[in-house]
Amino acid sequence: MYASALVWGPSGGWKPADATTDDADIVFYFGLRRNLAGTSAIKELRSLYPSARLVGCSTGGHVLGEDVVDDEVAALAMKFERTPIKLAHIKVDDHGDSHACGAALGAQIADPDLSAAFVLSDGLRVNGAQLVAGLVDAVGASVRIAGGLAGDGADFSETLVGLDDDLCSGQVVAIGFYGPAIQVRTGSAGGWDVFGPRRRVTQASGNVLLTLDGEPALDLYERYLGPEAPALPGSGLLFPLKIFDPENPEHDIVRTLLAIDRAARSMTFAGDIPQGWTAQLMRGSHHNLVNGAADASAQARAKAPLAAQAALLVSCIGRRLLMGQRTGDEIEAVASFLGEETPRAGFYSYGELAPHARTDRCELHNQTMTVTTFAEAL
Amino acid sequence: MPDGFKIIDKQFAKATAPDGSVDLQRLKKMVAATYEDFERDVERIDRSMRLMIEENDRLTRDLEATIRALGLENAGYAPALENMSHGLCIFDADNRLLVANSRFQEIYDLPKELVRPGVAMSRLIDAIKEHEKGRGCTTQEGLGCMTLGKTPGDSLRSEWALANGAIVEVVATRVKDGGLVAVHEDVTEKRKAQAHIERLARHDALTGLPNRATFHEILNSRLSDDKAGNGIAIYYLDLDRFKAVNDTFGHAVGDELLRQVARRLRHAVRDKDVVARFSGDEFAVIQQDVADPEAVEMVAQRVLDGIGNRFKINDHLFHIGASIGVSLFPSDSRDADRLIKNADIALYRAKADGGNTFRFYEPTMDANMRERRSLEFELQAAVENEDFELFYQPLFDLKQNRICAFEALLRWNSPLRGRMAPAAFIGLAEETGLIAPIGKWVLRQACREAMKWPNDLKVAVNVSAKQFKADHLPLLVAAALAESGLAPSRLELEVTESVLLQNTERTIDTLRQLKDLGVSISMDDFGAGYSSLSYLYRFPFDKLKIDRSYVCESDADDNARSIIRAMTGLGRSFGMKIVAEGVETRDELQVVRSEGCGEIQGYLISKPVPANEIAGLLAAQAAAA
Repeated sequence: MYASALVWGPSGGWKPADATTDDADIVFYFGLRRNLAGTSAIKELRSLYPSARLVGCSTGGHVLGEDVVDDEVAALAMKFERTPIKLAHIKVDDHGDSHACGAALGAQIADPDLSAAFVLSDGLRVNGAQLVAGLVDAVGASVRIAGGLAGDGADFSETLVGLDDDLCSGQVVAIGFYGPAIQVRTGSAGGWDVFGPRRRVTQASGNVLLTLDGEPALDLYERYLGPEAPALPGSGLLFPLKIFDPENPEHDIVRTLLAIDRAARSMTFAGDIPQGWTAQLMRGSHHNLVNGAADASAQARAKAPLAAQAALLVSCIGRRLLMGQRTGDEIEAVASFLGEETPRAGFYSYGELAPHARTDRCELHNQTMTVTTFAEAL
Repeated sequence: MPDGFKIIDKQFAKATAPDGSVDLQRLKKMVAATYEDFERDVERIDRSMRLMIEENDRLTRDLEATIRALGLENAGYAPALENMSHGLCIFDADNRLLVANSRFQEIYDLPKELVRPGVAMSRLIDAIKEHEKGRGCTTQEGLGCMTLGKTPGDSLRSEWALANGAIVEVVATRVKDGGLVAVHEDVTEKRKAQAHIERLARHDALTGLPNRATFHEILNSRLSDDKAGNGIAIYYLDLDRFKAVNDTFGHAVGDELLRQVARRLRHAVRDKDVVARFSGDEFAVIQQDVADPEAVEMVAQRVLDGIGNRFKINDHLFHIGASIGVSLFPSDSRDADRLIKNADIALYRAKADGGNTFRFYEPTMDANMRERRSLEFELQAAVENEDFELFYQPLFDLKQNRICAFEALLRWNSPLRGRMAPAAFIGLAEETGLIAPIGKWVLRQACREAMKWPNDLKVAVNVSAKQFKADHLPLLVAAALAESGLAPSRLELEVTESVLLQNTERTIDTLRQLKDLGVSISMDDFGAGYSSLSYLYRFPFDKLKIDRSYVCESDADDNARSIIRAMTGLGRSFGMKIVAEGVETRDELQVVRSEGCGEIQGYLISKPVPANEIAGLLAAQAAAA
């Protein structure tokens, strides 16, 4: 296979990062909503790759080399020698719920030869956990699924997912990779630290959390955010929530905030918050988050018999909010494990999709760095 | 350079143009933003730390309050536990002590330092076993830990004896978390009380002897034990004259007498023999290994001798006796009920034979007894049905040469046995108390009948000794007179000497009351019994009736004639009329007339006749005149 990273700048158009000009089967692109919808970047990309499938989404910043940028649009073109791919998409409005969306999407790509899938989903109108569950139900648990939920900076107003010429809100796209040649590997880690007391989810419904220990959860977040509280829900990403079933404390999940309702004192997370579970606030330190990213990269590497020939990085917007200008440190950490030369692209998302490090079952993650590597056997 | 400062290199690179010139404004902006990032991060950490400390403080306060509340709760339980009369211990699922009260420690006299939370149940068991001193009870079962089920609510009750004599009842119950709660109760006193109650139920409270039910039980077991047929004697014993002692001296003395009798009975038999009190003054004995009837006779005599000796109670000396009936196993019966019954029958015979003696059961006694029972039953029915009739035998006044009175004579018209004379049933009536209603009927009937006769004819009615014993005889007589309208002067009451044998003062008093009513009193069958002239001296009888035995001998036997003469002389001296009974021939009439008898009675005049024949009798007399 062959992969090549590109960058689009408002002044200079697309610039291949290297000299390769071969045609591609698929080109991933990532950019801020305003740069995707309001510039000619995608049109120019199409003219560069007339026969490739173009797939991308809006972000909360995206990976460029070893840095994280906002103003540019990043792309990764991939050409496979022996791996058929298939693209499928659905509009969330056409389906009853996120599980049904996942199942419908999965049904389009499901095949005994399906080896892996990469999914880009609307980041605000989808319950990521249910979407993944529906997908897994449709394609089977043996298919490695990775991907992410589109972002919208720290605005949380609208996310876009594009397939070829159709860039829109409320869309989910899946790319199926078929056959034995393709080797897709994943790693996912957070590096967040729990702090403060354990709390009980006393009132919640689906992914909407109302109270912790009988107190509105929003009160708790506002108290901890202090002067940053008005920036909710974005600032809420600074404090992800670790949740686990008290009967099964080993299997913990991290949930990140998507939206709040100040009147109802409710908080909507990127996945379900089951009532009765235990919840604990998390906070990140720069150092530990960077170590987490390195860990994710190491996981993907450890499972791969072949050296990665391309990598897609999906990291959480919350990590970027916390790390600020030094967010690039986690990209560096990932790159150091992948190899500096491995072509890569990636974005800051509203949720990451990857197999759970312990169960290997594909799940929605929050606040993690998720690394997906691609290699094709000769 | 530390990682944290790599950012400076990047910022510097970004601010450097391709020509090498550095955009200082841009660099300054980026560095300032980095500082802001740091500051913000520090602020976030500070705030988080502060809030976390606040939360920790609050949680600590809550926890302390909870601990205090639990302490208060426990403070409430502690006195409750300590004030329990039961010992209580609670073990966890690993059989380690959670809680025990001091009563638990007291019951088993365990060292205080041993009974503390966390100690293994096995150590407590070992310590308790030391106190048990191998009394044969398994302590582990007592604590209920070994056989107690594993399901919550499973419960096991056991009881065991300690070396100090205490009995402890343990109820162990499995609880939800797999532990157990054991409640220990010292039931020593309770068990003693139960044993006492059991003993009370089986023994006679007064004498401490086994009661009838227990006697029966023992007899049954002895009978089945006596496979070899060694022989068993059953004694049924009844005290003679006990009722008189009880009536006269009161129950306290009667009770003491019974206690002493019980003691003497126990002394009279062997230890292995059983002495029981049935009721009142009835006792029974089981004698084992009876070789021959002589051995029984010996014991029976020893019992009679023992009870025959005087009793001294409250400075009073009492002399009572006993009657004993004996039945023998296996010759009389093999059945306990039957043996007791047979002994009872023999006892009846002993009493009938005058008391202070013993009788062996004989099958004929049984027949007699049955006969007596059925007669008693029939007599009872006769009283209810008034199956009685009065016959009348005239008394003839020799001076006036006319019938002057009729003696009413009772007949029982039994539907089964035909017409019966008093001799066949009066004895039974007196024994059974039926004499009272019969006597009353006779009095009323005689008075009513006499009212149909001419005014110068009297009616004579026999009154038995038993009737005299009842206090209300004068009242009965007065009532019969009032009811019939008969003039008291026309009623003669005939009493026998036996009446005067009992309780003389009271009898004389009753006789006076009767006489005050205006009725006359005759001495019946004079000379037939223990004739005593003192009676005649002490009470002014109106008539003496010379017993028929003298009359029928009088024409041939000079002695009899002399006695008749003496009696008439006596009568004259005391101003009493003399009647000769049983005059059947003209010769006898001659004799009694010549010896001075004023009236005669007998077949020569008339046999007793039914009431409806009296008119004919009187008419014939009038015709003859």
